[in-house]
Amino acid sequence: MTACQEELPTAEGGDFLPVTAISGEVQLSYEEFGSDLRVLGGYGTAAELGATFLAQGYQENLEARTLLRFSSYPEVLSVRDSTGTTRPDSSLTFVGGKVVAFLDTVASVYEGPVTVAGNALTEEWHPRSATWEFAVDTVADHRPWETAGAGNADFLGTAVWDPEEADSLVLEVDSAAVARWADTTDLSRGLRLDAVTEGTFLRVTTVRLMLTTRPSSNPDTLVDASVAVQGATFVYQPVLESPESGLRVGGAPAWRSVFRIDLPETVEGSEELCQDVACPFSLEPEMVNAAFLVLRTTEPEPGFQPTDTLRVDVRTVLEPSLLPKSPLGPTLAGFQGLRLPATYFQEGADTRVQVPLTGYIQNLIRGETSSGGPVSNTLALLSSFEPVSLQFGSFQGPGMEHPPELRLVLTLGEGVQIR
Amino acid sequence: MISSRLRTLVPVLATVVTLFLSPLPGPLAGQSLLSTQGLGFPLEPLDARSRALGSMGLGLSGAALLPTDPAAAAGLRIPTVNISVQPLWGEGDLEGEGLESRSTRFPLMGLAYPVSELRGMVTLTFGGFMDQRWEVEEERTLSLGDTTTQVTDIFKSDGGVSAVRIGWSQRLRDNLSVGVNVGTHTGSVRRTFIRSFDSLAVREGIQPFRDGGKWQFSGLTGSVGVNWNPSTLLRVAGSVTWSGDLDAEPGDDTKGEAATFALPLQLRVGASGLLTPRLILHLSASRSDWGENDNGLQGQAVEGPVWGFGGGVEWEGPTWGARNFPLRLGYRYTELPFLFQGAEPSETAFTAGLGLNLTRAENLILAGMDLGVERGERDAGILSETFWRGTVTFRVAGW
Repeated sequence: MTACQEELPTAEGGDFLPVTAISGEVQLSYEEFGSDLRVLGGYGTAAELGATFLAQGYQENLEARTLLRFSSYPEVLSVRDSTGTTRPDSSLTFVGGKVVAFLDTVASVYEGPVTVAGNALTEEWHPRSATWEFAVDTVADHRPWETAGAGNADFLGTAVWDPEEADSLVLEVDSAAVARWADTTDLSRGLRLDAVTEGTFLRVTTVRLMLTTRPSSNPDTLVDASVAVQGATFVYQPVLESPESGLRVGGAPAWRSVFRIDLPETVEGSEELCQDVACPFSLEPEMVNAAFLVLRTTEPEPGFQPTDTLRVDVRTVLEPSLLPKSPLGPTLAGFQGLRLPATYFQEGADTRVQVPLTGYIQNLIRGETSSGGPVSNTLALLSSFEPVSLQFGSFQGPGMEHPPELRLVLTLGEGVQIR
Repeated sequence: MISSRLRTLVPVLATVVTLFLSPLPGPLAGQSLLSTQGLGFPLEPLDARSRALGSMGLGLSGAALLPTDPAAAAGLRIPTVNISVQPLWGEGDLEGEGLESRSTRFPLMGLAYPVSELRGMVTLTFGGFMDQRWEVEEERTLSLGDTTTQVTDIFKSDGGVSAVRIGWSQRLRDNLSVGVNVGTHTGSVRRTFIRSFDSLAVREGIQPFRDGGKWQFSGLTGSVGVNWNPSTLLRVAGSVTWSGDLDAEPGDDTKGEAATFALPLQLRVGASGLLTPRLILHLSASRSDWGENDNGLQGQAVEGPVWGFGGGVEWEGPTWGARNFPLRLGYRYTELPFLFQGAEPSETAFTAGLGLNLTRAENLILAGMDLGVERGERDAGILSETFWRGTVTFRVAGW
């Protein structure tokens, strides 16, 4: 029969629970669940990052240069003539300019004022594919720089950025360089910015070219015209190889760490768990309250230590045989990923990080997703956005002091009965 | 003749069918922590008049539609529908811990239809049997690896057992009626255990552990009863209720096992006598023996017979034309069948009530409402409970 409203009598405590449930923790070593670890690089390009970098001997290892190509110059400007009337002027004479670069003062590393040099590039280059070694690095065209690191360039001058005074630096550009960059058919046109001050690392967020022009309608006046950046990238060295051991996540182009998970048929419970249940026991999806991939951070190669929070994502690899180009499944770590502060990767890094995998492990035990779809045994650790930073996170791998572990929080119940 | 009867009865039948089809025996609401024991808390299929008189459900003067008194329907003579609503407010004390409960339920619905050629009535009743709605919550601290966390265990039972019965009441002589009903126990219970982890202590989200299942009840039941008026001043009645095994079958998604429970024979006797032309005394008693044999309850039932006694007086009350408004007072004592922490529980209640017989034709009540109020207490060792229980019964009869 039906009940209209209820406030059930609820007892707290006592001996009224008609079931017994045991909760405990199980740690699986990498050898028990993991295999086939691979660290794959090359996802995305530096040009996709949305910011560029300057580094000179940063952490005695990293050198990074920013390469810029500006858009076409304006052909008509509205200027005020000698009578004070504003009218369009299409007969412009560019007499010089300056490059204004805005810097991310939080993500940059420096000690005092920093000197930055500007150079006009002289070789043809491709903003989307240029690297330290190659001016053009597309599928159909591989053209190395004559000197690695976009080395052949005409010196334009230097600028000093004092972080206590401004968040941008201004590099004066002479009329010859301005004239050279006006030719949009010239594939060698471009500006290279180098950090001169040793040990610095600068993140450049925005660059504008401010042209100085003398309008024909008012030759006694100089007018500034802003030119946007058409293509921006950065090149850096050293170019890293995949680590022999360990995991790597992030960077530009980005690194991914891919490995296979095969859960054992039965698991040995912890000592305290086995006091109450028969060990070993088979895993059931309902038992799993939580599952974490436990990683230990380690210090990345010098110059590549994160200067900002690293967001780590986990996804299934849907077709492992197609790696490194296999499609990935939906995120297992949420839209923003697992946030790992930069301090986790600084000198002496050894922080325990837990990547939540509860739903995935439940599906893996069940042999299918909750909607009945297949479950891939291969997981990829990657940054939430690729690429998101020049720096990357490193974790200890198999064979190292703290290899990855799988931590399971389990509850084993005797089963609810009617009696 | 028959067609005109059917035309009149269609609205009545429609009402009853609607009520019967509305969520079927998600049985009666929880009302006591005693529901945690055995098969739950007994829920008697009684109407407001029985409650107000402290009755065990038989031997009341006049006609009644009660599964516990199958012969009493013979006096109804015309199509009748009864619906009872029962709100309850309870408080309790479990070793110093306060408890509260509140529920509203429909303990009894019934339909009676005459077959005048045979001087009998067909009856259909739907009533409660066992309430299994309760919840237990327990907090504890667990060690998980190198951390400790607080967990909360909740066990929730939601459902119960009802019985649907079809019966026949036969008037043998003007002062003698017999009745029989057969039916089946029905209803279901969903039992759920949830362990929640304190997310603040563990930081990373830990999903609760859930286990449970649903069981469907079934099992035959039947009653026979007799009402005899040896004089115009006295009525005596008796009934025997037999029940086959109560089977609890797990649902498809339930891992728990099936179970079978042996239900005891229930004996009831009752009597009503005129003390004065306008004052009636009613007494009744019941007996069942849950501990007679291996009943599947694993020692949770009280050993030996479980008794219930009750009685009260009914004053015909003030009259207004053909209407009258009876007033009732009573007291009942019932032993409950399932041990609570080893203690044998019992319930006592002072009862009172009022009848509103709004439309009468001869001795038949065509439209009426009865109100019953009980103030009672239950005692079971470390548990004591007090409660207010109201019962309202609506009765409609006519061609």
